[in-house]
Amino acid sequence: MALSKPKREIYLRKIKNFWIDFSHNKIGFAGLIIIIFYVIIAICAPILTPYPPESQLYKPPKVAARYAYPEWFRLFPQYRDLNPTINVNPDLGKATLIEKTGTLTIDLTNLWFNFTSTKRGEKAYFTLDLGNFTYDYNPPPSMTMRVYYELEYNNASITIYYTIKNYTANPLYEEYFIDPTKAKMKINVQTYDPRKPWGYIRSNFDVDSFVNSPSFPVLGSLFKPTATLIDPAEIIFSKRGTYGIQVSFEFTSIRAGGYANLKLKYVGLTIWGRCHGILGTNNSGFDVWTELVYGARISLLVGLLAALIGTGIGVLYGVVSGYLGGFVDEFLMRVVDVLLCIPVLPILLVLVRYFSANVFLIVVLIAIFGWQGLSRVIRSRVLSLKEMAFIESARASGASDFYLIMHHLIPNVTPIAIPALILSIPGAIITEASLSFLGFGDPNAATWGRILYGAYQLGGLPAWWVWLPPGLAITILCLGFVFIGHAVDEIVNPRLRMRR
Amino acid sequence: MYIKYVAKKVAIALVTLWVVMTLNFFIFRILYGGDPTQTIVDPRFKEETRQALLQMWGLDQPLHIQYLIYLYNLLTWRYGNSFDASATPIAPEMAWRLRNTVILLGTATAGTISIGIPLGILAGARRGRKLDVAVIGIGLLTWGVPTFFIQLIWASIFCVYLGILPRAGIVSLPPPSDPLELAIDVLKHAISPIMTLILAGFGSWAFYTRNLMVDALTEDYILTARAKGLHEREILIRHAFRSILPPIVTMIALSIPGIVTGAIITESIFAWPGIGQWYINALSQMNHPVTQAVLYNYAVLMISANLVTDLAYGFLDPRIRVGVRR
Repeated sequence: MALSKPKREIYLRKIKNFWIDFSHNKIGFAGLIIIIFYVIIAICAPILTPYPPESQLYKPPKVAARYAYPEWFRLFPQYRDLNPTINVNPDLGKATLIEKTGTLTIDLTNLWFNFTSTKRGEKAYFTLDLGNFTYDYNPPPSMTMRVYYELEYNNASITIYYTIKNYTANPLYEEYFIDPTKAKMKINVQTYDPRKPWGYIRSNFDVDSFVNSPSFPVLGSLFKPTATLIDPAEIIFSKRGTYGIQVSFEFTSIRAGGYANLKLKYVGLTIWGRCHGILGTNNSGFDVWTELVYGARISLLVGLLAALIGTGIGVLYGVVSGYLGGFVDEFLMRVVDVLLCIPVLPILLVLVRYFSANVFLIVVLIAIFGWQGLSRVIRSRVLSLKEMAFIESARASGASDFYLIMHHLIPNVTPIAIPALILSIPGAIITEASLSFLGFGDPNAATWGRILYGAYQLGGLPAWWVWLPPGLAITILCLGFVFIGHAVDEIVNPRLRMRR
Repeated sequence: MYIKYVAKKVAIALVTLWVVMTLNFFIFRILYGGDPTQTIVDPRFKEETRQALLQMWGLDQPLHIQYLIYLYNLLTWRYGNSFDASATPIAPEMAWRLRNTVILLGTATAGTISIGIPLGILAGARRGRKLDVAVIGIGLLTWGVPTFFIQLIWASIFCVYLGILPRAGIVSLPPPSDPLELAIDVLKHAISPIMTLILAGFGSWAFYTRNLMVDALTEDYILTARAKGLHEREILIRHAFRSILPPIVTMIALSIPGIVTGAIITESIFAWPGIGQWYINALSQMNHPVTQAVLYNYAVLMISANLVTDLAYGFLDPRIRVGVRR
């Protein structure tokens, strides 16, 4: 709609006056600053965090143990010695052979290991020492052992042992481990399959320590049977000091002439942090800061879109109902009465479950159930506008119904519609957050409700640093819109100013 | 005139009830598909067993007969049997769950209103003073805080960190045998959901009442009352508050959907065995008769609450009572 020049000037002046009023309204201005802050966060999300958020197609990397503390906890004395995530990547080129039995051909520079048997049941065994590292924190919550290799085998099986050697006197080692100087763990058995006696495997093998390791057969071999439900990592690194990594392979031939060719690619150890980043980690050990930052996008999008659509429907519906009047008006208003009695959240839950959750669907559904109150207000305003002289004269000079609605009625109800639009945003944001919180949200959208869902469903309630920030983020964003809405309401409806 | 008004409101309520019931039927029988023996129970059932089950659920009838049976069932509060292998009747469970929900919502709403409205009246009477500023602040804050966030904070402080309140359920397991101990136990479990609902709700009530009071106190008849030398308390209660009762009653009607909404989340956070928690479970287990029954009860709750407030409004607002057009 192209505006003529004087008309455009009138609009510009109106906007300018509005801005002058608005910038003198402290609460409204504070709200505006809040919203600008959120918009900046939403736009800059990829700069603020190195990871994309979690979705069904993309699982972000685990960065620390589940429900890790934030990094800044270490400023407080009782948390000073929390360990960050530590990756130990020994240089395989400097590995030394410390143990060797059986008929093995070893090429240490290329990390080739060849086993050839002459008789059935023959065994061979070797151990590599991969050097030492110091661990200088409190006991870690968990760890992951990594052994990557390629294996060509024929009628032979291998067993992998992962050993963490302890160079300091540690009473726990004496209590828990068979050998008090080292924790030797059988982490993998490549069992013999008679249907497929030969083959080639390339294995990127990661073994997590588990809290319930005594019942976990692979790591269970590490413990004496008295072991309690403590993660092995907590026991292994229970004291500060120097530790070493050793890796052993045991070959067993099933038949005379069985052989195995092993190429060792990588051996490593990740000690998962008990603290990470700005906000710690969630139930899966992912970065919460990432989810929080990207959550701003979804919340802003859902709030603005749902409010825009809902207000659009409400204004049109109210204007049409009020303008047409009579039987149509009566009917339309009774429809509103009916809709106002529908339990919205339960229906939303049903529909979202049926039409597989998707952010845009949720937006549309929230909008569809969120305009009834406004349409009543608009209608009563239109009823009184309709009797006014300027409408009469416009109609007398031959204006069509459509023209009247578009050029006279809708512009005249905007002082009601705009505050209502802004004030309906918090409701939409909270409704979406409620859906996500109940586990009915879009699994591909990083929403604040999803973080809260994790915190309450998956045992994260004690980890307040995980769920407090998204809850506060929702609250402050909603308050921002409430502030702006109230300020705008006061400016465009001056009668309200008397209330202060 | 009031009779006509009442008749109109009752008619609307009945139409609404019918719309919700029909919607309820079509969403579950047609959108979701009606044969639980294919999807929910065991797909490898024998044909006779399947037919017997279908017959028990009334699913062997043509759709329009099913619809009539469904309407009849709901209107007689029977609901049929749940879609699972045991096919338990829904009505008995509904009875005690509904009771739990009504206890929770009733107490919480009564608490919210009886704290919020007096606070609002006081704030309105002392406009611009500290209490007034506090009420405005809390009112705006309540608008922005999701109820479940308040409940998470409450649960983490009182149920996890301090450990003085039970985290979930309505009664300890096993329940105490002594009736007095049992009552105390239930009360302990009820504190968290009720208190959080009141905390989340009283601010907006106080804010709303306060605004109405401020408007009412600037009216001419208040000036007249003051000029007559009436006592300030009498002006507040008999003149100002009496005049804002109708909008407050409307507000009660408008807040019912929010209260019902809040119940689902509250019940699932505190594992309160009401219909909201049941609803969420049934929805994820595709137990449609339960979902339908709960949805129907929500609709009945909301429609009757709306109807009662409409009628009360008509009674309180003399313009409607004597038939002056608004």
